[in-house]
Amino acid sequence: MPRFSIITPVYNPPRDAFEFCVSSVLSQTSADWEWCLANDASTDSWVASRLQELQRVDRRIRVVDRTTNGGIVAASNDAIALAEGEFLVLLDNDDELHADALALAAATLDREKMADYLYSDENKVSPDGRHFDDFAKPVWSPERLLAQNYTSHLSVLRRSLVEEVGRFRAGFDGSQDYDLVLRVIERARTVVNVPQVLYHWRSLPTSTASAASAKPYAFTAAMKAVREHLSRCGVAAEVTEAGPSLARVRRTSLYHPPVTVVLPIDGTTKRLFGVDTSLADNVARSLAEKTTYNNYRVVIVAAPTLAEDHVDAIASRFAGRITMLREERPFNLAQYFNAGLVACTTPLAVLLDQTCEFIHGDWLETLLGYSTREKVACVAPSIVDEFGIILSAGLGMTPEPHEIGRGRHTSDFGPLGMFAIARECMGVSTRCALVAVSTLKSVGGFSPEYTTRWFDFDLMCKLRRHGLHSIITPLAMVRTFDEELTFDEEELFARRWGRLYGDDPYTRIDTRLMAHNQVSRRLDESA
Amino acid sequence: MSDENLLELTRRETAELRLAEQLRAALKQRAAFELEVLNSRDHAMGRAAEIGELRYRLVKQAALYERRQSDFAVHDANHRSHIARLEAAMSTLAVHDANHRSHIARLEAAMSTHEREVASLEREVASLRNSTTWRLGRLLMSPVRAVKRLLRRS
Repeated sequence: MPRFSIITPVYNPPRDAFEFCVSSVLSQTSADWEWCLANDASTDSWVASRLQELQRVDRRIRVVDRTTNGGIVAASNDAIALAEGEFLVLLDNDDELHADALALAAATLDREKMADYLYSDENKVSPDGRHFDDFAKPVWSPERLLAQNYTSHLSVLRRSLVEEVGRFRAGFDGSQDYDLVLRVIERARTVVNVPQVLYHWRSLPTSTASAASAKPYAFTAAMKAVREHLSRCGVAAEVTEAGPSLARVRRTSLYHPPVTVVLPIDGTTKRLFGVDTSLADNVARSLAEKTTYNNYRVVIVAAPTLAEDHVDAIASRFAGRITMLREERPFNLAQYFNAGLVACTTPLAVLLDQTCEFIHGDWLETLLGYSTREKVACVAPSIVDEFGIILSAGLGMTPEPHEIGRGRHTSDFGPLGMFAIARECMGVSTRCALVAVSTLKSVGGFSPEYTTRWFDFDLMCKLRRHGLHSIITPLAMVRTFDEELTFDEEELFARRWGRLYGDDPYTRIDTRLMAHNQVSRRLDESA
Repeated sequence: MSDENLLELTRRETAELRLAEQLRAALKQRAAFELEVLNSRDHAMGRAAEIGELRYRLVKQAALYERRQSDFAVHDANHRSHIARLEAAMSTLAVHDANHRSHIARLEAAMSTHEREVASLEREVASLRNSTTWRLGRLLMSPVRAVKRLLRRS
């Protein structure tokens, strides 16, 4: 029994592209495979004869000829019916595999015995054979998968599990593989990725590799697949379109856990929209007036510089749900956050900077929607400035610590749409972040050794050391009037975590270097 | 309410207030302790991270040095083999040199023999030219030589 069964439905492929595809399979450095092809009643006469010829030449190649054209789902299922391998490898009839694709997949699967699903990086190949648009994919990111089919190619699935979930389903044409993957991951023990380009996706004018708009029905099917997946998982959610091939999942939970908002304040005033305003007053007003979620308490950690009557005025906004801590130490955000965390009586807390104000009323409900995800320590909204420019859409470490998306407009989808969707990331800015109190305490909270926002990066690395990550969501946005990002304390940070520079498993590309992203480019092209 | 009861109530209220005060102080102390635990944990993690970072740099540096060392070893071996090749070439050249020298000596010996032969022949020629026979012959042949000169001039 071979280890890999390559599944390829064939229907009138461009001849050159098909020959490249054949050659990429035959030149695999691993010999442990079989190739199951289903000819979906191709009308091009050369297809059937070429497939028969291949079958004659190599005994590992098996072909089933369909008498009627049944579409990609039926053809793929017929090919699966021929398969005997332990794993199924999905390959389209005009795409190519890297010569080491199966060898590297085998090596990874040998290492990860529990893996039921494997995916790799991919790129595109133009009709003239030029490779471009490398997609360096993040490690397993289930939240991101709900927003976009980022795993896509190469996908290697355990055959027994595919049989268990009932192979490909009709009614999902164009996104049938996405639907299959969503059903497989519901039962998969482990999902692994190979951070190397193992699949070359041919970019033809008619394929989704060249433009998302080439197959609009595919995205409709994708959204349907996500809705059904969430329904099977018992998650009440609304799935809407966020952009080209990008979905937004807004969870609607009936569970309203108590949350503590930790808010350190001092007497800083700033000119906001032409008016001198106390930041503490502004954030308290925004929190009290905007927030639609009711089950929250507030822990205010007030600096000694703040006058008593001012504190009382702020406290009066949250009558019956406030704990006021008067600090004796001078204002230090990390220390004040820690003091607030200690005073928390709920399992979940929101860390809120006094420079913030809320844009959406349901920000807390939105953040809570992600709080039950496994291994998630923090959930944060996108942080924008008063002009709608992103200041933080997560924290990244490639190639050095930086705030992802900084300086981009909120209408910019970002590289591969990453600013427009909820996704896993290594860390988030705690200007506004929902955190699990016990998790934060277990890593020692914020490091008081930092006096600037480098403590966010430090926290990110501490959480990573514990195998935890964060989620950033653009569904909630928070405006901040603190656009400063100082680099004074980088030396201290590098002394602790210098080895993690460039080693961000969720953002493996330097997003700052990409002036325009692929999704935006596609939009420009289609306009 | 009797005075005794009133007194007891006041005593209890005072005790209650004292207990509440103590509870507040204890809670404050607990928060301070918790904060200290938090900071200690962060400190421990920070130091562990620094140690990890130092270890990482050390391992990286060690790997670098090892690589350099192996590079040096390769260089050294290359140099040694080069020197050995040069030495072998030098000894070959020395043999060549000795051969050349003996060849030169042989040539010089041959040359002096030839020189000696030339000197004895020159002496023979000189004695021949000084002989009476040679002079008589030259005298007899002088009219013939004069005619030959005249013919050449005309």
